[in-house]
Amino acid sequence: MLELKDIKLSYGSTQVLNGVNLSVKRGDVVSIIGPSGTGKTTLLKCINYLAKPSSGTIAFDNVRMDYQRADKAAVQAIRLRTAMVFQQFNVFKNMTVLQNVMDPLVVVQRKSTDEAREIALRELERVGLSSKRDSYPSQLSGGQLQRTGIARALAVRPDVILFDEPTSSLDPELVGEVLKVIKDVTSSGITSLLVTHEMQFAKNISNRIVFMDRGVVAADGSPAEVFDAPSSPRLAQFLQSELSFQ
Amino acid sequence: MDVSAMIPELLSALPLTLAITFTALIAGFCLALIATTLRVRRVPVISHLVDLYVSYARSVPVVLQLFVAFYGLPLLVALFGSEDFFSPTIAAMVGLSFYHGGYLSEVMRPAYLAVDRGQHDAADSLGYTFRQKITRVVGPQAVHFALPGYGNSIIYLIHNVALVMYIGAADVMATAHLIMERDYNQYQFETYLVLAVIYSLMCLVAWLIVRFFELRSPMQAPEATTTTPIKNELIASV
Amino acid sequence: MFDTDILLPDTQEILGAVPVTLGMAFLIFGLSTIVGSIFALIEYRRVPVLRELIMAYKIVFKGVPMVIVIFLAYFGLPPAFQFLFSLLGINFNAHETPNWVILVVAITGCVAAFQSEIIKGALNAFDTGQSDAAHSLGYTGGQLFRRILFPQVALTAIPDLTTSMMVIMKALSLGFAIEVVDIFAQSQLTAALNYYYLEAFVIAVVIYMVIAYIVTQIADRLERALRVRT
Repeated sequence: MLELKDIKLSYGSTQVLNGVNLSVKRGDVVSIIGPSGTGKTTLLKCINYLAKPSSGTIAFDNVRMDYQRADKAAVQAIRLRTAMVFQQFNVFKNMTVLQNVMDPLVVVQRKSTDEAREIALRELERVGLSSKRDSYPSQLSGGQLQRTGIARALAVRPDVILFDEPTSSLDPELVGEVLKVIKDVTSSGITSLLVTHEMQFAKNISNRIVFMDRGVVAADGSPAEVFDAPSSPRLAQFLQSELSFQ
Repeated sequence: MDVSAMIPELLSALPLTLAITFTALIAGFCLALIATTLRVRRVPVISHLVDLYVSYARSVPVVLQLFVAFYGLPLLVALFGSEDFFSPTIAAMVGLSFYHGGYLSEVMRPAYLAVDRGQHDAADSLGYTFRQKITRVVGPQAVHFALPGYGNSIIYLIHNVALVMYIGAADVMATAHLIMERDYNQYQFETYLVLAVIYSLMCLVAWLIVRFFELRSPMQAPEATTTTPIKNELIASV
Repeated sequence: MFDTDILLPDTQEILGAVPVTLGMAFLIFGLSTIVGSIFALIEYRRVPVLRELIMAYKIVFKGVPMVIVIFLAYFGLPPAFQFLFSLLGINFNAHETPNWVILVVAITGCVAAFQSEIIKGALNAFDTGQSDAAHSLGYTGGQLFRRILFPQVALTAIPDLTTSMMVIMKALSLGFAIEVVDIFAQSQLTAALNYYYLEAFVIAVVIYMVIAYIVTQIADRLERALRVRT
């Protein structure tokens, strides 16, 4: 359903993405792993055009776009069908938890306030934040903020949900509550892309692992293939350092 | 002397002072909004011209800006043919609007830039249009950052309205001068003390209004520990 | 309507007022920094009574337009000086105090309130961990101030102090009300002589903007040069 072809992107003189190809099938739970600075997050941001590749194409079901001729309608169509969960949460600081989840439904999807509220309350229940619905972001912990971010992403009923290192900026004791919610989301059958450093977690919840290295996809396969029989020395080295660290 | 005798006379000029203030507040706000938009969107050439305007408003003494408006406007008006509507009051309004707009733009721009990049990303990824993003997410947060600086800019505007008498507008200050001359310049110090009180009260009211909005801002929740990421200019503007 | 031939002689005349203006500005800058630092230290150390007085002082100077402060000084300072001198038994006619002195005192009074805010902010930005470290290494209070506190506080304050310098330059333009001739007053005098008003004022505008540009450039360079060392 989602196909990225030959994505290239550079910041100044550093080539971040060097011709990435990736295709995702409906219902896939894909974890993207790899050393820092290899463009995992950037790749995820290319999908909803938060990062702007210099070349490459994206196909999302029947929406096709060449990044060299990005057009607003296609970008918007893709954005409406994806939802992103950010490393820094990016919960709207001027709104309460409930308003954060409701606002996109009202503003972008033009749902009635009542309907939006109903959906929002259901999603907040799902991530266990019903009691915090009238709190402002400044009153919440990192874990609660990230669960708000996830509820906001779920509420728009996306076809694909993009998790960008959702636990990387959390205090260690808060990681668990967020991983539990993510696991609940991915097991519900929604197509998911997850950039993460939590190797064990990635192995448990994914049906596919993508290893990115130096701006390209260096390995792609089932968790068993990637983790238990690494195809390259660099992958083996990376897995060893990550797993021994954990 | 009986100071209370001059107060009603001074206050009779207050409407004009307030009219100049409010005109400059509103027109300056619009100018600042336009200037800030052009500057943050980095429109080529135009954004440089706007930068030049902002540095004019900030580095040239306000009294000189008033004189430029007073002598420059007739020239501009003559270009468009009509010469009837010009008056010192109009020049004061125009001059102070440009001053306030440039000053306020330097409050708005840092406030806009202080809004976390991630807030833009989140709104974009959810499919907000630029307008929706600005009105619902980025704008309200920028307002929160800008409020203290905005309060200052209003106070300095009120201070600078005291200068319009030099181009001949009949405001509170000019009236005070008339009173002093009539009283053979006996009570000048006292008169200026009364003026000081009048202007202080105006500033106090402005400050209380802005403070009210600051305290109502949802981002100022009780447990918020983050400090405002922008520095407010501490020093007056003349 | 706008005569370009007059620009050159006018510019020369108005430029003549630049040295005096800069001289007064530096004097005010120095005085107000000293007074502001004293205020800031009193607030930083939380000296009782004095601290409240300074707070009141700041509120007053925030509310009153500078032009009114200048007039109050113009009419109030000479009698006040006279009174002080007679207390000290000095025979001196304070009513002959030159106007520029009154202007310098008035603007110093206004700017000192703001300078102290700037310096206080810089003091508060200094993290106390460093003074703990210095004390544990056996530094005296004076050594701590000279070698650690002052260099950092000065650096933090540079951008704001630059703004103060510009504000002082602009504040001097209010001196024309009490017949002190700075750049602006000179442009007015020049204009009044030959009736080319707009021309003279445009020249003054350019001079102010050029000075502002130079001052900011110098401050930027200075900050960058010092920044490396901290």
